Amino acid sequence: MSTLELENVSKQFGAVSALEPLALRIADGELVCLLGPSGSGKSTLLRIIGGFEMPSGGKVLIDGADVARTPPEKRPTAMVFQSHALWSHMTVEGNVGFGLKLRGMKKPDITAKVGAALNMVGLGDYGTRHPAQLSGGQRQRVAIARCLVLEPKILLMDEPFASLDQHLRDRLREEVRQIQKKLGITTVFVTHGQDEALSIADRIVVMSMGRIEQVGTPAEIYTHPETPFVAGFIGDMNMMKATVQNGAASTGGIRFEAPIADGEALIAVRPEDVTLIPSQDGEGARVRRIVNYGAVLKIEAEAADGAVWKVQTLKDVPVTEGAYYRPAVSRHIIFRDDRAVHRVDPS
Amino acid sequence: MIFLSTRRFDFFGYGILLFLIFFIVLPVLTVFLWAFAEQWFYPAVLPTKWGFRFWSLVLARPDVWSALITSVELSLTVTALSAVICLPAAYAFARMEFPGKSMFMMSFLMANAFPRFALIISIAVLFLSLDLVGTFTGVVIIQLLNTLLLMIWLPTAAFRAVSREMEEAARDVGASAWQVFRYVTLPQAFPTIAAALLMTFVWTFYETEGAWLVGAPRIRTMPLLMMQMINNQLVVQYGAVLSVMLWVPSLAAILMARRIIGGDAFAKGLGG
Repeated sequence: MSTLELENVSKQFGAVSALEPLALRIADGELVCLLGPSGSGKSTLLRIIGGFEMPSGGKVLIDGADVARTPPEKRPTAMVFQSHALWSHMTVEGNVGFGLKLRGMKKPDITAKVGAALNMVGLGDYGTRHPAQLSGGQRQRVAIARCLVLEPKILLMDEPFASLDQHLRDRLREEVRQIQKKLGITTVFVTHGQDEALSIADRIVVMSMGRIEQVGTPAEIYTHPETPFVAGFIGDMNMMKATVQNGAASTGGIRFEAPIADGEALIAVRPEDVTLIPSQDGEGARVRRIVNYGAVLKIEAEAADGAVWKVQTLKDVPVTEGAYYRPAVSRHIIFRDDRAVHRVDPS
Repeated sequence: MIFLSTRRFDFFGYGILLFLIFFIVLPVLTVFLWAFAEQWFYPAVLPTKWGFRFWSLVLARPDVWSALITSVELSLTVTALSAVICLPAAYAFARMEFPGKSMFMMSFLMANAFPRFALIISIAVLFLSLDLVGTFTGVVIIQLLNTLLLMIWLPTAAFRAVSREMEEAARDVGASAWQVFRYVTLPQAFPTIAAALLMTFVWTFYETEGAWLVGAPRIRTMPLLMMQMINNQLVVQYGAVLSVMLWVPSLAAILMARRIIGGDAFAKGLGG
């Protein structure tokens, strides 16, 4: 049972504010992704949890005990670094067993635990090798075993697969998720890849410019973004500027229901929520480009007012470049002053 | 370049080869031959009589043994002291921030920018008033000053090259600051530090200017003894035998360096 709570945690580097005071509560056994572009403060937040940075203010509570001023070696956290950070002068076994050795554990016990940890990441036969003799994926597995063997209360991962190729990244991500579920270890995972976050997280914390934009399950983040930043950062999104008048707004050849006060607003529509209905030439939007992604087609259609709709359809929907279609939208969100103010969602 | 290094005849390459043979291989070979020659008259290409007579003569002299002992003691003391003083300083330069840091680093370079002989003379004058001239301590101090640059710059670069994440990873699994240094930073920087230590040892062993100006006449190292012997008696063999003896430490150092720096560094996976 390990929970992690952040209360009013902030961080200043000199005059620069890297993290605005923020609060976050992570439940026992949960895997939470910190997602954001570089400079959003996600790595700083992770390093504060791990003890590598002292917060300028606030509390870091692990199982209710404040560790904000505790150095990393005394915290019940373990971190997987982006560069794997294996000690190249030690063997794989030496790397994994080092923490146990420091704790004064007996040799036979260390050997047994190290063996079990290496088996868990599928490297049971690699104990006597040096890190230089391993592939990138294997090194990161060793780094994970090095953390798991210590049975930390909180596992921290700082873009652990960023340097690996897509295929390997997908596989390791799945394995990490399986292990994490099996051990029920509370995990904070930093990434700038939305696919990564959407595919493994129980909850995603979207960050931007040192602030938490939104916290939610992958489905919530994807379908109910609360700010234009989240809407634009996660997945593809049509973001149309529009003027609301008398409870409605028109843009890109579509009239949107908008029961809010008159004025400027931003309308967000997912490409897969747009359907193209064949119409006559000169009417609706003209298809400029079709890109085939195998299972889906990504289409750009230009409306009469110059707005361009990004559309995604299944590959067997017949669409022709240069032809005219009437766009229809099933879901949309209206933002005003950087907040979602109205949402139309039939599902 | 293309013209100079054509297949037909590489003038440049052969030129360098000739230069090396003439100025390095030949003199070394000659000295080596002289050390084992009891008789070598003019037209003969090789010594006319071989033998170890001059070796037993040289080795029978008590001043040779005392100079050898002095040299080894001096080099060991200077290397050890230099390590004790410079390695913590190098670590501080590499990992800590303090005012005047870059000025300190530059000052070690500046000391080497001036003619060393003049510097040593002024230090010798200072030592005279401190009663350090002609003492072992005095020579140790002057040699220490010589090794500062090497023993601070090289290890500083080595410590700096150790990845921060590696150190943080060690903290993360429970290592204290000292344990991080002992088990991660030092082993990572070790090949370079070993090279610096070996160079310090060899450098001190062969140094003559400082040893002579500050140590003479009471402190006599091997190189000083050799100079003296060559100056006083024109028996070539004495100098030759001493030269061959003097090669031993540098040869040993190079072999050790190959073992420690070469072999180990690869096993440790510098590619890491």
